Amino acid sequence: MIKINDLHVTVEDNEILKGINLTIKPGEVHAIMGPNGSGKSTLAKVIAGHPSYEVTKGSIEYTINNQAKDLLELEPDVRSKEGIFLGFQYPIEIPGISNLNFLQESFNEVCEYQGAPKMEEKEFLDFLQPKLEELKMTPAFLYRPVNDGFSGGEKKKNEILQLKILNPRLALLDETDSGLDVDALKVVAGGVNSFKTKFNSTLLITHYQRLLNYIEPDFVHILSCGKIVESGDKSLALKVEEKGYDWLA
Amino acid sequence: MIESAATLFKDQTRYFQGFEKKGLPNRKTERWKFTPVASLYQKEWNPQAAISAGELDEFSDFVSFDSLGELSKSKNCEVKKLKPSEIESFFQQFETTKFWQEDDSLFQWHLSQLDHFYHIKYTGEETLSLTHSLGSGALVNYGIVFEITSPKATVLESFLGTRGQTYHQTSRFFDLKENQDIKHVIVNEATPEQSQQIWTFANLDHDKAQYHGLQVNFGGGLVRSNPFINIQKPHSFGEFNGFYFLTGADHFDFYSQIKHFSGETESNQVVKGLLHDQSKFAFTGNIYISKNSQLVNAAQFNKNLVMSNQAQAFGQPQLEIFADDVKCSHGSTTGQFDIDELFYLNARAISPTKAKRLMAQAYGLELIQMVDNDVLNTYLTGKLTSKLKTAYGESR
Ligand SMILES: Nc1ncnc2c1ncn2[C@@H]1O[C@H](COP(=O)(O)OP(=O)(O)OP(=O)(O)O)[C@@H](O)[C@H]1O
Ligand SMILES: [Mg+2]
Repeated sequence: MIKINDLHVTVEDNEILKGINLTIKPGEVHAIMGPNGSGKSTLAKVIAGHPSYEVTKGSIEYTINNQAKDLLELEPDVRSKEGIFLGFQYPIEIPGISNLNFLQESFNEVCEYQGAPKMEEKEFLDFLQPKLEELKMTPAFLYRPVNDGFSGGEKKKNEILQLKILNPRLALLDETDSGLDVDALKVVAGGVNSFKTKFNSTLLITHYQRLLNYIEPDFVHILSCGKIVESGDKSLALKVEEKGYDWLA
Repeated sequence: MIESAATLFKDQTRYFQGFEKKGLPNRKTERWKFTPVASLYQKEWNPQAAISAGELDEFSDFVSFDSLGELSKSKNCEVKKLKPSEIESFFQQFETTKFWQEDDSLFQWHLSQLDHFYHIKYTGEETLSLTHSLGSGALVNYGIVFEITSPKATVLESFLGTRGQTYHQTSRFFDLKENQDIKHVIVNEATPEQSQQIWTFANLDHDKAQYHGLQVNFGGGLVRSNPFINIQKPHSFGEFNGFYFLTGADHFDFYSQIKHFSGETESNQVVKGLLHDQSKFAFTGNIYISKNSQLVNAAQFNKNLVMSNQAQAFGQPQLEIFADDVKCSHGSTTGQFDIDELFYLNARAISPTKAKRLMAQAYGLELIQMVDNDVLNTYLTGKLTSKLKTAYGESR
């Protein structure tokens, strides 16, 4: 699905990522943990194509339907249309654009790109209804401006709603569990699990082992100071929970 | 080049002398420093056949002016051309108000050249739609006194840029009654070869009067809007907001004065817009609070989004506050679209062009949605959407 090779990234002349190597295969769930400021969100944003980050070295190869693409050559909107989804650690508020309008524009862009018919508002609302119910979101969220005044947890649910609408191939979920109450965590985890198929992959960024009780990762990586310093199975997450990060050299 | 006054009423000669005493403004004239207008006054204008404006289907109450300032139709409202003696006494009285500024030479010029002066009485409670046609190669000057009888009504003025050049100068006068709530929206669609002076005078000289002004400016080679609001009685509220969307070599100069002459009054002003290509925008926002006007609340905010390297925005708040127990806030920013907002939309498959269009729309709608009048809201939203589609393309 994605193959990251010796990735170096700088922002404003600071090197944040210092040689990341990571391969995620279709159907796999990977989790990345690591101290604050270690570069987890940077990695996710670079994969999604944020323009503020400069890739100084390395490559990202993205393969779907047996076709390999140089991801770094693609514009962010094209990456999204090609099936990459970033669930933001801090979802952006956009006053003035209604959530419904935003979701529908987004959905229809992907439809158009993939040669599927676009949906009119009414059809789109019918399509949304079960997804809202599953996430325990009221339709009122659709008519408010994008994330504007949403509580922390509501913003995260809105991200998962977008995940379900866009149905990507690779989901990068940056601390989607932070700020969620216990019930919401279950709902959100359910949303992520329902996305899981043998064709789709997930990269979870999290600080908490508890998320991994709900979404079982195949691999856990520790990112520290811009490098992956340790990889293992989910027992690594338990070790982090117990011992913190100090034991890592 | 015009060398004498028009002959609509007697005092025009005096106003022309007033203009001549000061002469045309130049770059050093404070209130004209961003906008070079002199050449417009020196040009020869050759009026051709009038172009009529037509009416807007959305609104059943309307008055429309053709491109030479002649009134062509009216319905559900009374319109009359004032007689010379009536105009005379109107302006003699006006000269005694706090609006009168001896040194505003171009306003005196406008008065000296008025060829029509209308009185429009609107008895409806909804929206009175006025259409003004721009074009015909003409230099046009007319004024309108509004008399609005119902406690709450909206006046929509649309300037429709048809074809040809013009230097189109209009003034409008509102005098609000006690408890009256008037919305006044100007939508300007001048073409690049059309220039304008738009004067608005809103007098709030009764308790609890509310005047909500908004100009939505979509173009014009050189457009100067001068909204003046005098708030003279307690519990009154005045605002004049602006949204602009400029392309090509459009030039919009928004020069406003909001004056508080009474305590316990409020005013507000939000002026924002988008500049593309080589367009220019200048904002002067004067807020005056007189010495005895305690407990005044005044807010002003100006935000310009500059979408091209050659576009320019100038902004200057001018606060003159002589009372001490007042709240007055102001802020001004000039920048570009927020990179993280754009990225968020891009990361949701929305192309950069469409993302900009959506954000520009959101930006404009914020002001448009403040106009609490559903029909007008829908009308303005439609206008904005179609302008943005033209500018940013239908999809990609
Ligand atoms: N746009 C930026 N400008 C300047 N510095 C940045 C920028 N983005 C990231 N950084 C810096 O890069 C480093 C890594 O940030 P990043 O957000 O990737 O950390 P993180 O691992 O996600 O941390 P957290 O667990 O707190 O979310 C930090 O030191 C941060 O300050
Ligand atoms: Mg982070």
